Amino acid sequence: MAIAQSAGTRADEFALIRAAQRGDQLAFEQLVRTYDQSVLKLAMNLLRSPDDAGDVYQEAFLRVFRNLHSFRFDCSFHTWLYRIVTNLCLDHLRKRKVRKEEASVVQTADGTMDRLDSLTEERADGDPQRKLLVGELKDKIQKVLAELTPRERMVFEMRHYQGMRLRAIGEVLGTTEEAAKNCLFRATQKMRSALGAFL
Amino acid sequence: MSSPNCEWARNYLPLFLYQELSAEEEDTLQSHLAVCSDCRAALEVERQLHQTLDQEDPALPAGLLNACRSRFTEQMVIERALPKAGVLGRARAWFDGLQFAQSGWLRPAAAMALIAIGFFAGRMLPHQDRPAGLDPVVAAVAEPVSTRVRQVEPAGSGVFQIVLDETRERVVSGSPDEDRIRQLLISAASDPSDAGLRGETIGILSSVPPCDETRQALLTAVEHDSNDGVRLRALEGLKGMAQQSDVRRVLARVLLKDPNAGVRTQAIDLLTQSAPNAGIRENDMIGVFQDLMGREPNTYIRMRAERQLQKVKASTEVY
Repeated sequence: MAIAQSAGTRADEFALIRAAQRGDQLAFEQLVRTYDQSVLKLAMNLLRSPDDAGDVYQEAFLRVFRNLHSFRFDCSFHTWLYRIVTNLCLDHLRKRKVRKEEASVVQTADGTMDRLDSLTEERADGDPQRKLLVGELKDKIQKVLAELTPRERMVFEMRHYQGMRLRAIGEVLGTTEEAAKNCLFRATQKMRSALGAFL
Repeated sequence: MSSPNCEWARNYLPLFLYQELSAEEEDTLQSHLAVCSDCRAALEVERQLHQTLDQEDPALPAGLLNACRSRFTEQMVIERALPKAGVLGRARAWFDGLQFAQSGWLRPAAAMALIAIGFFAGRMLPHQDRPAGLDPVVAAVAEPVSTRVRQVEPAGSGVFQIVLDETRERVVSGSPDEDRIRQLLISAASDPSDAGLRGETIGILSSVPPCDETRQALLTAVEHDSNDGVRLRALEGLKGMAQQSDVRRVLARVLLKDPNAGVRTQAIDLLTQSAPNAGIRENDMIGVFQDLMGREPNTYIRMRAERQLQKVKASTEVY
């Protein structure tokens, strides 16, 4: 989801942040509501676990609450918030890499489920062979996503699923647009070489 | 490879689909695609990959967002209670939180920690209870908002002396006419760490009747502040003073040096506002406008300067 802001919206957000910095609870809640869905979506896409995504949500907005007084408008609030979220997600991803726990299944309130099962299978309808191929493709996608470096994964998720521009992604990750572009390039190359045979 | 450009084109296909190519890169790629059927086929494969990956974007599990919001709301109740409770209250809330912990062994450890914090807080409290002073504008003194350990020294027998640097919030209120409030506003207007605060304060200083100090603060901000928005606000505040010679000198420097075209436009507005028809008359200002003609990259500002110079029949050429 792209978060494009008009000048008017930016002015509203400025006022909202200033009010929240002064201790206005409603303003803070409104600020959270503006961004929390996209934050949760990013965490969920990256971590593939509702529990972990929920933890990142809590920790991210708690950090925002505790440190909002030190937010100096040197960057946009969106960038500041996403820096917090991506750092938390990177920590999770790195820990998983160490523990080699990257799983293709997710834990939900209803128990463990393979998230690949919930995907749409439009092209597979009525064709068992095709269905098998689509299943294999999904497995392959999961595998290649899990094999990307945390940074490549982060850039890919923010560009492909969050619709953020590479310049903004660079700002969030504390790097240049060019470096983000290279990350995206590497990620798409890996996916193409892994998935090319299925397309 | 069917042409020398194919490898380059293949590499750029994903960025093309993400609309992340420069106009020039996109033109080159489009030209290549128009003549290369292999790369057009590769683009189709890339498109299919995009579509397949689009299907991998799962919806949030039902109820997850609401569950997160509820949990966060509960957490906020605790967070908001903590500052009001003071050091002992924070420790108690933390200890209360541990009551829910499943690990029973944590409780004795938490109790010991609470005793330690209680001792520490007891040492600190006399400082907190000190009268806030006789200053009539002081409304409230808050708990420390940040604490940093500056020094740790062994004091013998396994005891350590810890020196803390604490930042406290103090709320003061009053009218900008009052010296003390005005001084605080002027100080905030130059706080290098917070552009938002500077912008707000400059806005306030712009809206009150000017005195030498506020005028100086506006002039300093308009010429030296690093934030475009703050400089624009300061220019707003100088509108009523644009005839004063020292203000005009600063405006001239801003017009020649400011990196932001919006700020320079506002500066030329102020410099010419008193004589929209007659044009500027001061010789030094004519020199400034002539100088501007040679260095200004913005067409509109150059045109404005040119008109002014034409009105007073001064040369628009730079020799």
